[in-house]
Amino acid sequence: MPDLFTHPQWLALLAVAPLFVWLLRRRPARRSGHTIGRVERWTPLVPRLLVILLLILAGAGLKLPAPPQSAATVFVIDQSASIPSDIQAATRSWVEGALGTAGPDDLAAIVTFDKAARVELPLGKHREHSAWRAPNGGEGTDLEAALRLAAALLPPAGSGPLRRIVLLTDGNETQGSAEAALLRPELRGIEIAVWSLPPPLLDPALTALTAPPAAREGEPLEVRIGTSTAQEVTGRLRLWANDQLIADDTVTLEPGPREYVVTREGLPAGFYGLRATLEVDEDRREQNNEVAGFTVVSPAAQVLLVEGQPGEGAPVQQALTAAQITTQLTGPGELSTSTAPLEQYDGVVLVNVAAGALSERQMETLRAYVEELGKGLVNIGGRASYQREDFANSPLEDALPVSISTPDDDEVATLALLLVLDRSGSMTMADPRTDLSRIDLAKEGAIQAVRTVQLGEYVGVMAFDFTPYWAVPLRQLRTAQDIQDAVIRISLISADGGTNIYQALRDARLAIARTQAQVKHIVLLSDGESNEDRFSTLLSRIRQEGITVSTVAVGSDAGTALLESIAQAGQGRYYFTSTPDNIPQIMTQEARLAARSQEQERTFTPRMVASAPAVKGMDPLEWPELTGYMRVNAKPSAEILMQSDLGDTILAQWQLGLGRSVAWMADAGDEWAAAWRNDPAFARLWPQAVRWAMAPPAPSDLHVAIETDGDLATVRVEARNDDGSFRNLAVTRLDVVGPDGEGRQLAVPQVAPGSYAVTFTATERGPYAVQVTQAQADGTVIEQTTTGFAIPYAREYAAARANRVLLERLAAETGGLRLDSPAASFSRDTVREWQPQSLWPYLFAAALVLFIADVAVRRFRLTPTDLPAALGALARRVWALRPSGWRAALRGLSPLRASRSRPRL
Amino acid sequence: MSVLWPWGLAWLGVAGAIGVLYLFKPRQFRVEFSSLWLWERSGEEERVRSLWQWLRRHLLLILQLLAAILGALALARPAVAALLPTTGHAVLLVDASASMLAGDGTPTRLDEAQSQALEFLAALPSSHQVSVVQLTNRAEVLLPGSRDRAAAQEAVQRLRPAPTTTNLAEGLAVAEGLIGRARRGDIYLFTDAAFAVGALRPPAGVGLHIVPSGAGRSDNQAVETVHARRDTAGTVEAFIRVRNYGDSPVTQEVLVFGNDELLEGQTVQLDPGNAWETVMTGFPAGTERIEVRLDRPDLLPLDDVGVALVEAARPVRRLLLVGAQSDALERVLRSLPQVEVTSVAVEEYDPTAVFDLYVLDGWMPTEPPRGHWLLIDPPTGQELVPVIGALGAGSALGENLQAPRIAYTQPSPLLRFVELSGVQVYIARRLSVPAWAEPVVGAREGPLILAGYPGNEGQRAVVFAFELNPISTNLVNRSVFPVLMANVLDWLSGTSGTRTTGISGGEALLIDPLPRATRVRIVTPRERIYEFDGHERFRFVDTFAPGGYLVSQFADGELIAQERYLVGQIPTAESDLRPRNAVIELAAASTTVVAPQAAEPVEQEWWRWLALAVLGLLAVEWWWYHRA
Repeated sequence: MPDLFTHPQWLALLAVAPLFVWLLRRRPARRSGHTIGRVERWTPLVPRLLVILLLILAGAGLKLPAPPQSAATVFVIDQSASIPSDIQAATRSWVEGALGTAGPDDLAAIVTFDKAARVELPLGKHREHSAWRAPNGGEGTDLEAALRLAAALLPPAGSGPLRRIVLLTDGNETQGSAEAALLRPELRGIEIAVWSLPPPLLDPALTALTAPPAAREGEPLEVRIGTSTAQEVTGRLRLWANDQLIADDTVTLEPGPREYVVTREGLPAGFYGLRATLEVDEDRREQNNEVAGFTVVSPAAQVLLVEGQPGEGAPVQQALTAAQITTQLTGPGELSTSTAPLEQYDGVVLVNVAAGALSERQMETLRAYVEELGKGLVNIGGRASYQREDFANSPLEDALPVSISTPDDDEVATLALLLVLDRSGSMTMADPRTDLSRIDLAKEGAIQAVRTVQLGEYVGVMAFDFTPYWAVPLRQLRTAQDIQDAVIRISLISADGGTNIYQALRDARLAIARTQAQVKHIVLLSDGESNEDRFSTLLSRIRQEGITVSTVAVGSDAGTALLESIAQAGQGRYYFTSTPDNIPQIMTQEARLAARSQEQERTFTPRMVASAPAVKGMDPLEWPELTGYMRVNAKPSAEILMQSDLGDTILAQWQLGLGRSVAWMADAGDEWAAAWRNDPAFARLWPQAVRWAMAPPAPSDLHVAIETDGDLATVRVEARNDDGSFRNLAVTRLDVVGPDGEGRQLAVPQVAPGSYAVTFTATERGPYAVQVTQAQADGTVIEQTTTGFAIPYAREYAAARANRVLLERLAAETGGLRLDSPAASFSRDTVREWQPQSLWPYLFAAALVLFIADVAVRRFRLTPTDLPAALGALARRVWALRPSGWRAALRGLSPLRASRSRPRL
Repeated sequence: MSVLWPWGLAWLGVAGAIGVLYLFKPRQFRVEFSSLWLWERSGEEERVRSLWQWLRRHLLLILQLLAAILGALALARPAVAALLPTTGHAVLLVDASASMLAGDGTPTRLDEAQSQALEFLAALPSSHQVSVVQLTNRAEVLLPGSRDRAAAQEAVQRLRPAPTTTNLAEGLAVAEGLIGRARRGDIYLFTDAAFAVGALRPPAGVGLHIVPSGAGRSDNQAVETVHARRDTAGTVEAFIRVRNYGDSPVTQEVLVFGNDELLEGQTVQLDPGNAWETVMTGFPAGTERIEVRLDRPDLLPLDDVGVALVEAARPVRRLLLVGAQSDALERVLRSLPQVEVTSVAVEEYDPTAVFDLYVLDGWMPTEPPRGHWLLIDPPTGQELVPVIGALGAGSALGENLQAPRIAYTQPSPLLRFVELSGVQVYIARRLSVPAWAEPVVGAREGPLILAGYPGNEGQRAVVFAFELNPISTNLVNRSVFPVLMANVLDWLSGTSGTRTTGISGGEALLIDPLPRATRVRIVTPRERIYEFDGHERFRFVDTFAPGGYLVSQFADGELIAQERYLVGQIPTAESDLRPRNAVIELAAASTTVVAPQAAEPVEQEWWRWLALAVLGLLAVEWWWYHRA
């Protein structure tokens, strides 16, 4: 009952109801000669008892679920130092205006806040407030604390009024989280209406300082400084590292949020607290002219330089050394076959190293070095590098951003290679040492040659005796199955018959001329003679069509003169071998030489197609010329940085797993990039490319994450053993040195498998150095790392504008309004939930209406049977309310007026 | 005297209506008489015009009019501003934190504090105002300043403990606010003083009095930390710390359960103030929940149980990709864990199909999708993200404009672990920042990435001002691209870093159902089942019991997502049951201003008295009407 009534004692008045019945019973049954019927007697009791009941329920304060009849509003006013005094004054006036619009039952309170919240006015029926307390001027904005205090002041849920917080702030919180406050139970069911304060002063300000948390000695340190200003202004931007001025620039700040980059080199290894300041004329606030950050500079990077031939890597080594990158030279043979010895290096640079010079295991190690260890690989080309036969499909190709890939159907193939093999009876002659016939060795050579050719190229094998036939018709190799088919077909060639070189060469020319390949090459192998005099015409056509022919004469019986002249006329190479076991080697070499169409040799200036750290600060217009490069394809996810005049990739980079790699298609300056060797671009390119590819410095395997919230900093350490398992129960210590130089040591307790955390206060503004040490129980240090964090100087003043999205979100999440006038502070338009409300005004009003009925029933002696007639009469009267009805009624009144004027009895 | 609702006087019309009733002739009945001789006399009497006789004749009307007028006045709510003498304001700040459940009170410390508070109220002069504030990790006003002692007693009896710490700073701020600036009040803190006060200063000008509860015993051992993680082999590893907060050494039996099955039991010797910690490894891969129980009874059973949930996979998010123009985008979306991608052409877009996330590539429907959405390369002609031009070479206008360079980034969960150094945008739309969004990444000429809340129903949206292909940006080739997209989807689907699957007892759980969810069921560790409508976000507050809360989402009866939320152990500071001197010293340092007796302005409403008068008038009127 107490929940249903506010004044249940009023219910005792229900005891008077029998009094009304008793009085009614006392009424005489006859009156004025009229006998009062039972129905007529008792009918008036019904409205009367209802009136009495409603009045008693009203007095008892009956509460039933209904839309709230009033609002309880707490005005939460931002008085932090970032809000200018004129805006604060306007805010106070706004609230005073809102209080004046409160209804009779509306409750109001005022909470002011900066970095702490306090009650300006407790909840009550306030209609005015003028004696405001002076703002604290606190340098902080804790919206969460303000919301919580406001919620605490509001009446509990279900107590009747609509509960609302009116937030007057710019929304730029510096501690706590208003979004997190929404999760607090005390804010459940409370609307947050927002009135966004005008933006704070947009005076020139530094908003953030971002530096790489870890850098290497000798590396340019790139510090990004965020600025904001309303209008263009020139000022002095200075940067200190551990109180040593490292940059002093005059800058022009552009309006809006911007970032300025300051790059400095030459910081020795160590922890650096960074501090940037801005000096401008006519600055209205000095508090927002300073930002802080930190960086930890590790010792210089170490790179393993692998050169294909001794001395080839010297120019690159020189460039890297000049940039303070330590290099160690080695040859392909010495490259490790496991990642462990390579871990000491931050990156590996290959200079004109043929993939064939590396074992499968070495290349696999390099791939894992990049992909799994997150290290860097730079492959600088040359004639030996990127060769199809050993680079294609190798783990090295997997690790690099370029490949010798299958061209698309509509792409022009690079090579058409046609092997023309003599299969005359003489080719059955066997080598006494190996017992292999010439035809067997020719077939073996053909097979190896076919295998040398890459997918996408044209290959054909023609065998001939008196007449030629296509052992493998000339066609583009699309799949590995095509290669396999060709191998099978070659293996089926058998020797028999005589020799007709002319016809074979003629058919070979006709076939290869029809292909669209860039390079068309015929290899003719024969051990016989052919007496034709039409070769000159044929060779002339071959030359005109850009087809090249190499010839292989096997044994002294071969027509060496003819074959030599064919090779000469065909701009190819002539081979003579008396030992047939050389045939495979010769044919493979021919195929390789033919495949050397990859090598593009012409003079051009590369062009930059994307900017990236590797080419940063370089002017493409100043780049020297290249005279050649290896033609490869960039992988789809690679980023092409430089291209040739024909659009071929010269420099590309990509991310592979945890690491990065860079590929350069020219050489290291010996031949194709000779003009680069002594150019400043060369000295800049390789250190930058290597640094980009290298993993960021990680002095230890401890992962340290630091979060700050107001004056609190939380350090979380994730530790794993070398085998990847969690490192548990290690004694973990934290050494913190604050901006004031004060040091303190904290124990970091374990909180989860492999996880340690501690929270401490950090009230001093500026950079903090943090050293985390993990040790065994006996004190033996397992691992140690240094990092840092910064407590910003002027977060309170940094914001350039109101955080509208946060305010909109608070309103949207809680069903609140975006207020446009003070009067809306107590509106109940947003009611979504009914709550128990005292219904006395409604009950009282209903009693008054019923009282009219009560009087009418008695005056007109109405009974329930009169109800239909009364309704009919009412309907007629309503109908008579029409204008025409009025006129008729007035006409009808005339006889009545006349009769009234007649003398009475 | 004033009227609080002048419009109530309009009810005077009721009196008018009654008067109108009297203008009509009463209903007549036909009565037969043998003679009219007797009636002549009565007619003569009517012509008498004395006041009494007039009143007697019209008394009924007068009474009825008076009742109606008083009723109308009551509805206008007359009120009198009165000054009630007050001798002070006592704010009862009752500590209901976890340590108050220690069993060295009567029987608990909280029970004892409640009894003390009730006794205090009984002894308080009636002229004193009383406020009652429950103090846990927040301050909750149960009764603001009132002289109603019954209400105050009822408020004290309504005190409920919470498994949280004691936020005295907030409690004092609220208490000071209740007392107001007149400083005629005192704060009475009913507490066990078993909490740290830090650098808190005593309230200025207000007396702070400590009413200690409990016997101050400290025999308590607690499961301080339990945390379980899956190791590299897939099995579960648990870190456990048990501490003895008592003054004497104890032997505790530590029982470890995995999915309610006893996995390990260990007897440990705990010296006073010392902790025993261990890492237990090799629990089966299927273990979802580790529970640690202490077998030896102590003063505070609440911290004798600790529960940890093994990190579980997030729910699968169903994503609709419309107009997929970017292979790179589709490839990355399909590679993200717990994302199920459905790709359709623009003409196949069905606005009634419900997905958790929508990715609109170069196209926007007339009506934005119902769920959260990511818009790539906003089209022209729509108003949600106004396109006002183009940036960069090769723009639609054919202008050879300079490519937009990233000029700034704003702190955002979208950029978590995302380093945009070297990322370039070559061609982009020039956007006007809509009111619902904030730029996350911008160029001098305009925003490049926006994020915000476009609707009133909490939908989130992210906009990329450029196409995600290598022609428009090199972002798609950067290693940060998948990270950025994962962040975007996490933020859009409410599963970003701000989301937590572990909270403290008494905190609210924010449940953000997937857009296709129609129903949400929550099962508490005590097997209580709650059912909620799945169409909107809500806060679940019955999180008193530590342990796992199973939240299941259903779409038309089909289970679409299931997650466990952990309500962790009570704060470690609450397990230390010893009273802290600092609390006592804080009270000693407070200063009371002895304020002179004053009068409190009170607005007293009279409508109830008028209602009573109306009731009386109605009784008289009824008697008069029915008099014999």
